[in-house]
Amino acid sequence: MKTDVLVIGGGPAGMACAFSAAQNGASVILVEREYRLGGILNQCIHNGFGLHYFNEELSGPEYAYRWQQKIENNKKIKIMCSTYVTKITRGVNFFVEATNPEGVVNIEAKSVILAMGCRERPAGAINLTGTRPAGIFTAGCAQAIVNLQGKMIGKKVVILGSGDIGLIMARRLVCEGAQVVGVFEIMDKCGGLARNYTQCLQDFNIPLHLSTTITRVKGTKRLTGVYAAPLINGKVDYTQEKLIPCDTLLLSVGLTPEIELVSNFNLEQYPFTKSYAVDEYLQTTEPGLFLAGNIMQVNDLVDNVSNDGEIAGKSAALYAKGKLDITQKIEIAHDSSIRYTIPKYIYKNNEKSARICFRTDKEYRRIFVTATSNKKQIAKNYVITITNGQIYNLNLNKQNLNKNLFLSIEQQKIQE
Amino acid sequence: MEMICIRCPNSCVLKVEKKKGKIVVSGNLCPRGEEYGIQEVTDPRRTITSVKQIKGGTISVRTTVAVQKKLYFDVLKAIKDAPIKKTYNVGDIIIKNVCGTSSNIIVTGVNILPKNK
Ligand SMILES: Cc1cc2nc3c(=O)[nH]c(=O)nc-3n(C[C@H](O)[C@H](O)[C@H](O)COP(=O)(O)OP(=O)(O)OC[C@H]3O[C@@H](n4cnc5c(N)ncnc54)[C@H](O)[C@@H]3O)c2cc1C
Ligand code: SF4
Repeated sequence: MKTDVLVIGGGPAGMACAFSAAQNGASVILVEREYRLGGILNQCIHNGFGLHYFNEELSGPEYAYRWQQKIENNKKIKIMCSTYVTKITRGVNFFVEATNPEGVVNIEAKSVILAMGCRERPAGAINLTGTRPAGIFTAGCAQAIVNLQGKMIGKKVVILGSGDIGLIMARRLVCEGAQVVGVFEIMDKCGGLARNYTQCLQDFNIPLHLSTTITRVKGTKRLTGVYAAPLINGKVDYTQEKLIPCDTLLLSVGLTPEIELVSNFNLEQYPFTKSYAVDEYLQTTEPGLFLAGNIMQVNDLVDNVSNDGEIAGKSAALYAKGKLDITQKIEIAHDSSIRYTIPKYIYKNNEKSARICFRTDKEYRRIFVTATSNKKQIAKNYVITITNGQIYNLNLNKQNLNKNLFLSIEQQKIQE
Repeated sequence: MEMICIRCPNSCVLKVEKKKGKIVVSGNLCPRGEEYGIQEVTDPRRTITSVKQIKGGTISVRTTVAVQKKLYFDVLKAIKDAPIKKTYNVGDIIIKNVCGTSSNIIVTGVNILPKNK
């Protein structure tokens, strides 16, 4: 099979990529390993998706359904579900190997977009000592069992990690009749969004224990309890270890991007996102290989994921036609309060603006985000708060962009 | 009073104050935040989402508009008790005016695993 653009992964990022590549005249193949499109959205039955994109408050499956309808009957897009990509190599074009129930599929593509999302960090990633009884789940896996299969996972639940998936699952399990004893967080603040703390924990009187962690698990066949202990000055205080009886433990301890498929390419990596560096077109340092969605950075807002997809889809279509303008490349530099920027490179091209997003090292209040090019300030945006963890989006007007670009954060001077 | 707008993941910190008998909201990035702030201090409501077992799989459902918070578990029970139909499509109404509210329960997703050949 031959195509202009191959998109791997049929979540919100992949669907937007396929749509936008086709809109820009490319032939597209979209490959998804599950039996249907939608990705992680299919199991996110809660509301809060699409406010900015569709101007409606939808649930995850509905958001996916809208996009599916946008691409399903498009003659330029061939959708292949139940197909798992196993290998990517390249000559002039990319050669992709996949397997599905019919056998091995070979696809030759001029450009490839990786939209494979993230996977959860498992129990092995955090040093959890003790026995290995049944009843320990990652939060997303529990979400799939409860929401897609309609089965319950336990009666008395402890959640480790206050990431969004953990908070959302705390509420879901209470709604299905379980008792959630508490959420334990090793950091001194809630990991998930404030809105999820309010409507998932506060609404149901579920306690959140900050600066506390689970030290060991207990039980032979089934989990019978976990031990929790507080952290004092960053160290676990084992003298205060306490047994908490429960039959289920959910781990909500973070996500890692699905990047191993292209480890044979020599791509520039970002230590902070554990993914690859991209330019304004969301192209990696391998020409014609693009990223979109959670594989690039973990997003809170699906609307931004769709936005990525549209950029990557258009860029991949242009690359396939040999029309991607990469002549004047500029590396974005920044001060140490900014952890990383996506993209890392932008171009002086015909695009009037570029979306640059970043995360900061800590929480900032009342600041200016400024952009300087050739010693001239070209942007200055006032921001009331950026929390660490939150992605800040800067829409940079590129008209005055020169040979370099520096982003920094300045505290607003308050006159007394 | 400070509260967090839950209408979207931006999670704006709202300040809700009474000024001259009127409720004034600040800190919101969009008009939905004002609406939420006023609602939350006068008559708190939530959109409720859930899952229902059907033949061969599940459906996910939600209330079309937010319903009074105190009806949370009544609405969940009504969803579980609703009769099971033969087929479901996204957008189908499965309960009208759930628990006497002005909200319907609609289908948001249908999860039926394809049969292995
Ligand atoms: C619990 C939870 C709650 C959230 N809540 C909200 C919210 O309230 N509002 C909001 O706006 N956003 C929310 N988000 C964020 C948003 O849903 C995600 O950022 C978004 O879905 C990521 O999209 P994606 O397409 O990058 O990845 P995914 O949806 O993960 O899609 C990746 C797809 O790639 C496929 N794939 C992977 N590897 C291969 C391979 N080798 N071959 C073929 N296919 C492959 C996978 O099967 C999957 O379908 C939430 C996320 C989670 C996890
Ligand atoms: S005020 Fe608007 S932008 Fe802010 S959280 Fe509420 S809905 Fe989102």
